[in-house]
Amino acid sequence: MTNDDYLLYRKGPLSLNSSWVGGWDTFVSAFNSSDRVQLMANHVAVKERYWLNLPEYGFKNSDLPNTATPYTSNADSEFEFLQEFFLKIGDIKKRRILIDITGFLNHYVVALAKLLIEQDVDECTIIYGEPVRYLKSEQTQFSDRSVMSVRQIVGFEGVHSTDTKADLLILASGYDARLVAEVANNKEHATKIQLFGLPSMRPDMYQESLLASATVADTIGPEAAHRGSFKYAPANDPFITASELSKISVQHRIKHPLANLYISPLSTKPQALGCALFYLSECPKTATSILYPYCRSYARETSEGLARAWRYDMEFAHLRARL
Amino acid sequence: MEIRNPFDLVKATDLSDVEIEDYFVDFPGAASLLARIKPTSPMPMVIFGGKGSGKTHLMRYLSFPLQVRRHGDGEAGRKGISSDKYLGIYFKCGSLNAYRFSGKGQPQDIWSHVFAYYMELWISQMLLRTVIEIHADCPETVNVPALLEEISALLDVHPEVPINQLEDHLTHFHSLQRIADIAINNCGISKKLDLKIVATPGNFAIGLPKVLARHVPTLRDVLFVYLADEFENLTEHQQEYFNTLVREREPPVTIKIGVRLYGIRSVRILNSGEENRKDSEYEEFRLDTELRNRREDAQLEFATQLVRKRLVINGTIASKQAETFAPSEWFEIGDQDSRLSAEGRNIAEKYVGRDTPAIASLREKLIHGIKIKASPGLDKNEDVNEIIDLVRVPSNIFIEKVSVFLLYRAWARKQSLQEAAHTISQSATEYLSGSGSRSPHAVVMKHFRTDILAQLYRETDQRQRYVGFGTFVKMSAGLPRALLTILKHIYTWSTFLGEDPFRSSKVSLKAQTDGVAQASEWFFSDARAPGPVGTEVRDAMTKLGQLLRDLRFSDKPSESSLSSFSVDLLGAQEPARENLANAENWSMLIKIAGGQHDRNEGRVDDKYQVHPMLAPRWDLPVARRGAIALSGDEVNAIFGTNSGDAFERVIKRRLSPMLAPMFSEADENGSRKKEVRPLVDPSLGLFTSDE
Repeated sequence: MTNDDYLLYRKGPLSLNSSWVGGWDTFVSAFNSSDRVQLMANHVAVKERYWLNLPEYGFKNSDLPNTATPYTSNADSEFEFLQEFFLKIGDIKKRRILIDITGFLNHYVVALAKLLIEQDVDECTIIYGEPVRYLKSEQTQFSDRSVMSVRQIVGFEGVHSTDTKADLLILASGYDARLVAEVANNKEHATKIQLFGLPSMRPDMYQESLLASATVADTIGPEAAHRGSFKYAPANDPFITASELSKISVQHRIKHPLANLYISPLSTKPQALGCALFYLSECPKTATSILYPYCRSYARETSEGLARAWRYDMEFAHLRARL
Repeated sequence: MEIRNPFDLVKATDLSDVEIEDYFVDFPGAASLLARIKPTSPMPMVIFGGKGSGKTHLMRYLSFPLQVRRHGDGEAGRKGISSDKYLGIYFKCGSLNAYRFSGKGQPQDIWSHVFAYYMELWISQMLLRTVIEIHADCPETVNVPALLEEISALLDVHPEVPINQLEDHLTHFHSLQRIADIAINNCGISKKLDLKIVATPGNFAIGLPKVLARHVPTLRDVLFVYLADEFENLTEHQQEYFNTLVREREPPVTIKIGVRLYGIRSVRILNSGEENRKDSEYEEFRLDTELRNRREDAQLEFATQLVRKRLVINGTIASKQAETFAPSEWFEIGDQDSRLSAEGRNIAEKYVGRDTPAIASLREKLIHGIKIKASPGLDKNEDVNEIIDLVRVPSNIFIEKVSVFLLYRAWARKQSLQEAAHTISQSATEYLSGSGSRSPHAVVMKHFRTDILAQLYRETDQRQRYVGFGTFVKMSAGLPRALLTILKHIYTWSTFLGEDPFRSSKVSLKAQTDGVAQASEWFFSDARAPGPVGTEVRDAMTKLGQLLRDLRFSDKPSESSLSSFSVDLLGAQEPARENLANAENWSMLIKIAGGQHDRNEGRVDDKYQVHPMLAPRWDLPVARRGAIALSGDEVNAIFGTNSGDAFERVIKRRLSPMLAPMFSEADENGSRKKEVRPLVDPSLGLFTSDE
């Protein structure tokens, strides 16, 4: 797979003035208190609807609006949570499924992509709603910042090399600079590249991400001051994100074929989806991992309004053989 | 041409092998850190050190690639390693991604076995790769059938692939590791661990070096030193694998473990309740404590060497200049006159024709004191002017500040303020004339100079001064990375301000102050424990910093250079004890050897200093002189999980005796309770015994 192949996937806007009809059988979303999660759900004209109640948000099922069936569990990992959910609702291979990742946490987005392949889903529509603004701009906290551990996401653990001299860490950096710092600390020895969302979802958001990143520049290391270590992909485009990751990885592996590569999706959910797509397309059984800083809890409400909505038509059939 | 910041690279992990060699600095002769680590000693060692203490730099310096760099390739390298009498096999435990070996529906003891197996494969590959590299120019010397066969025999299952050279073994171990990786990863999805273990723990980590020593001439009399860095990244059970290596090591193998202060989770060994004992199975080396405890001039010289090397490599100074280059000469340090004459004049200019802040505040408090009958000897507001006229020193704002300080002390002891003011006025005159070497002013200058200066800076809207190379060395307190981070930020500010640091101009006070502030913030945010513990420790440190700052800037601080405290742990609850220990483990506090003798109870309490890197955050001194003794309740209020109210009461109780006009103790609720008993120093008349 080359980096251009990702551009064959289809991304398109969704109108905020009409219902979204696409012959879907099942709609799945993860609930949180941000406006856009419910606004997105209101646009979807599907009868069978589920709210995933992610334990990290700390909601009771009774807190959720009754516009969809709530689902929660005390699974050990995000992968297990989603695995159990899909097991509960039955054979998803036979359904046309619509998944809104707006309320998902990034590690769930990553796990979701792998699980859909594991569940023999060939095609699926994923949607995402952009906020009008984040509540406190670059000061917005998406987690309680109590990082319990930085570890690989199950299913994205890689086959690593004992030679760690040329390890590379790609930080898809967002507002939560503390999380960026924790991951950078965990792979202190690795060369770091930061992938920023540009174009960002709102014009000021790119600048705000840079400001946030600058606050932890000392932890990131000398690369934080070198523009050559900054890469860019649109904040709302998983496919260009995957393509950019592909380019970075190929360039690094030309020089260091055995190097360990770590990717950490700390920015938007579309970029997290892009990280997963790149991994599943090019990295199974290589020295590549997706790393995530697991926090005790995550903010229930981080944004206001719904500015734009996007659909991403995912195709997984060709990726199954690579796993 | 733009010159890159010579202090840009502050972490050993960011350095190439060449840079590790080039930037390496050690103490001379018998004081050498390398000698303390004793690479040729078979006794295992745990090297403790805070983040940035230089563990990685030291351990990498001892590693094989650096040995080769020192001795050269080929035969020279082989001879060099033979003469070194050790071979350093360096690896980072953080690279193992240890969390993979847990959960996933498998019991812990299974993961312990799998991890041990995985480590055997990992270490084997590093050993083989090293040996192949050593003999790259003469492979025939290592590809002897007996060696290859003995390695195969170490496996529980003989390799099915043909083994004709060491590379075949390396490939085989790599494929075994790959099989293990895939099984471990799939287990997260399938909950089944489908892995056949084909090597017994210890067979390779200890057995392979024995085989190599037997068959490879270069390694015949060489100690294989595993340099296991970032040990804190392993879980309790994973550490037990290495503890077992420590216990069961046999010649020619030993191990040096690099670990952060908090990083040891277990001293037990695998499959047994037995524990390794310090000085029996291993010895400890505490790197940052060692660096801190070196003589001040030795620390300064060490830091000077660090700076010289970087400036030479960076091209800022020529190598022939290096030997005499003194970094301390390149930092402005402001007015060094003990009376602060020049700088004081500049500050005082703002207050021509009006009260200085110290006088204005004193006036206000005296008037308030008259109102509540707490200004001894003063009845009416006009009396205040007389006092002020005696205390005021128009020619020197700094000496005036000392006079105000002395008056507060007299006031706290309920002395007649008129009498005290006359004595103070006379003392100021004598001191300024140079004749009052035993005057109260001279004594205050000896003990409280930096505190009074800090108060003066604060009330005249100046920033606190943390300037001069010696100050930066003290601030780093055994953490070379902290020193380099300070210098990195200062250099950046200096060039931003248009200066040409270390070449044609001194670094300005502003660049130093801004750089130090930035480095201090980095230290506070970076030295953070994971999870909620990190938040609790930061909150506790913020409370502690606030208390020490408020005491330092009170009217009558009782302790000079207050950055330390002792604790009565008997009265402290468990959460407070834990947070205190965590603050030390994460280098926010430094434990003072010997503790503090409690005068009343006869106990020896633990004593701590706020890490000097954090001093700018709360305007605290870098130096350590005075200390306050915290009771169990106070420790609970600061370090425990008590409500904020308890801390507010501590602040009130501690501060009340130090604030005019009442200078009184507060009751349990923080309300003012009773007056402080006057304590008079018979020789000076103005000092209390707490000095």
